[in-house]
Amino acid sequence: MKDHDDTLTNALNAVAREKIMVPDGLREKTMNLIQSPATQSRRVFPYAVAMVFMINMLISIIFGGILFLIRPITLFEWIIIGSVYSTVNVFLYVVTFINYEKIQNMLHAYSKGGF
Amino acid sequence: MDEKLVIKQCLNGRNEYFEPLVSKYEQPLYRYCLHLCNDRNDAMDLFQETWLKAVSKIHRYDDNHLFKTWLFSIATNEYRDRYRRAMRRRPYNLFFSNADDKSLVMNRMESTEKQPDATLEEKEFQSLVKAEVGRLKWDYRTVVVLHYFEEMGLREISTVLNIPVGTVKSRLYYARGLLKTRMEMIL
Repeated sequence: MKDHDDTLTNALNAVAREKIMVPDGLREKTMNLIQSPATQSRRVFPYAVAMVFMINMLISIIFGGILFLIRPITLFEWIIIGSVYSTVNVFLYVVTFINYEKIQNMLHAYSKGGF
Repeated sequence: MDEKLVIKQCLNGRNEYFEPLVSKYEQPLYRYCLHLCNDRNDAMDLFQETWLKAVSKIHRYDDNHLFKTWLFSIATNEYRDRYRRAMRRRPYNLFFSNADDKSLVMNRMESTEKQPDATLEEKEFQSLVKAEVGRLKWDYRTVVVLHYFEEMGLREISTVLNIPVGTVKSRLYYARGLLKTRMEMIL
């Protein structure tokens, strides 16, 4: 039993000592992938969604509060409000994607203990 | 290379700063991926996917841990997800797939080339052990690969896999038992 144990350990150690060559060009291919625009957007996407979602919630609360206090609104007013709301949303998404580095740094600084 | 400085620059969103890190960890990470996947193409895919994940999650890196440990934990999680997906697609058996047969031949060829002084029997046995490790379930395989092939300690493995040290020990013990039983059947 002990012999089998030693043989297995020796074989596992021998496999560990085997030299494995990294395929040519793997590093370059990986760097190209890392620097591709698709990777950049993948990196920013969660922040963009989270930020816009939070701002949306804030706007909804403020808007809803004001409308509730004033009076019932007409269909035309609903359309105007909806258009403004959508435009603001698109604007927020664009701004967030453009400034993803700043937002990421800001969140990173916050996660490390304040700005 | 000051690794902490490089990581700080990467945190600023400059992806080109990853190059020194990719260069430094290319060999150990690729070796780990190859030992897990037993197939070169799969290992290359896993390697690249690990780096892409590392780039997108670099802000989550805790500098109290080694970068290598963090990188290996990403690779392990990605490998686990792939393994589970593969098992769902081929629930009948992953052990006797073409990839495993191919890797067995490849391993044998590599062993013959790279260790001219080892005897044929030893090389055969090493290839068999390697193939058997490749046939273990993913959780046992990762522990064996990290402990024996990557020469990591129990504590480091527990950090990579995010499990208690006791679980690492028990998985290692069980995996060794499985390997020994299979070896005894073969020999």
